[in-house]
Amino acid sequence: MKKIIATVIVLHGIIAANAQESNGYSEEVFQVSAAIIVVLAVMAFILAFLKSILEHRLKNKIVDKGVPESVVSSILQPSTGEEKHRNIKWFAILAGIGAGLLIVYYTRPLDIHSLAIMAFSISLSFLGYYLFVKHVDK
Amino acid sequence: MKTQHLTEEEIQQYVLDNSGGYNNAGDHIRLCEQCSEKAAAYRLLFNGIRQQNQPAFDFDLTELIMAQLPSAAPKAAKENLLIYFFIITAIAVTGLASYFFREYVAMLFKSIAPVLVYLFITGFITLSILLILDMYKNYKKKIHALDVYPG
Repeated sequence: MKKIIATVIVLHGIIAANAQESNGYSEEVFQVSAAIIVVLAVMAFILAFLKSILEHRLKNKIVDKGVPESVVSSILQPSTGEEKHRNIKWFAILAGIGAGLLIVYYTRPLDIHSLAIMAFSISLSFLGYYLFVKHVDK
Repeated sequence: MKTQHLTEEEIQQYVLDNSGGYNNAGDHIRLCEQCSEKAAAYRLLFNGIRQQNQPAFDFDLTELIMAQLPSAAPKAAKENLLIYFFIITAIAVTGLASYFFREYVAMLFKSIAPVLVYLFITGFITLSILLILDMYKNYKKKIHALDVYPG
């Protein structure tokens, strides 16, 4: 989640720098970026909250079972394969968002179909990611 | 039937199994006086061991250990109090910030075309749902790994 926030802040900086007019920032670009950051912060909070709940439950289970330390570290630490998959996952997500925005741009004016396009493109990118993981795990 | 005398282990096994059946050892013991005497001696010995009192401490072990254990309850209560304090502080700060900056936040979303806001929200909701599902799947995988671990 920290990665997403950092990426968005950097992107925001780049957009703001590009959108600079002679008398300062373009108001609209600034507002759009700020709105994205606000929504993203809420999303990050919800995800972090859920993650901590799940981790708490997992740790409780580990303590209840009395699992040895070596096994605990192997369960809690993500393997190299998972790390690789994580990169692919974020590639799929960002590619999906990019493709969705591109299609939305070419099917303007913005309307309800734009929302459907975004939802479908993100879902398809996730589907692609799962199919990839399934294929690699075989 | 076995014609040679039984070994000590075979006699002990026969007595421990308490086998009155007609197996090789039983047949031999019934006919061999020497082995029969040994079996009777072992039977007597094992009965004596069984009748011994179970060894026990002459003091209350549970009470002694419990008295030496550090009491965990006050510490946990203190930690819980601290957690509640942080939660309440966080809620209060967020609430105050939302109250004082409500006009700015509202303006932020009002100044953008509504359909664009919906587009962001749709994208973020879809992404959140899929990320939560992925997180839950990983959690279930770890729980399953713990369940199958012989603990």
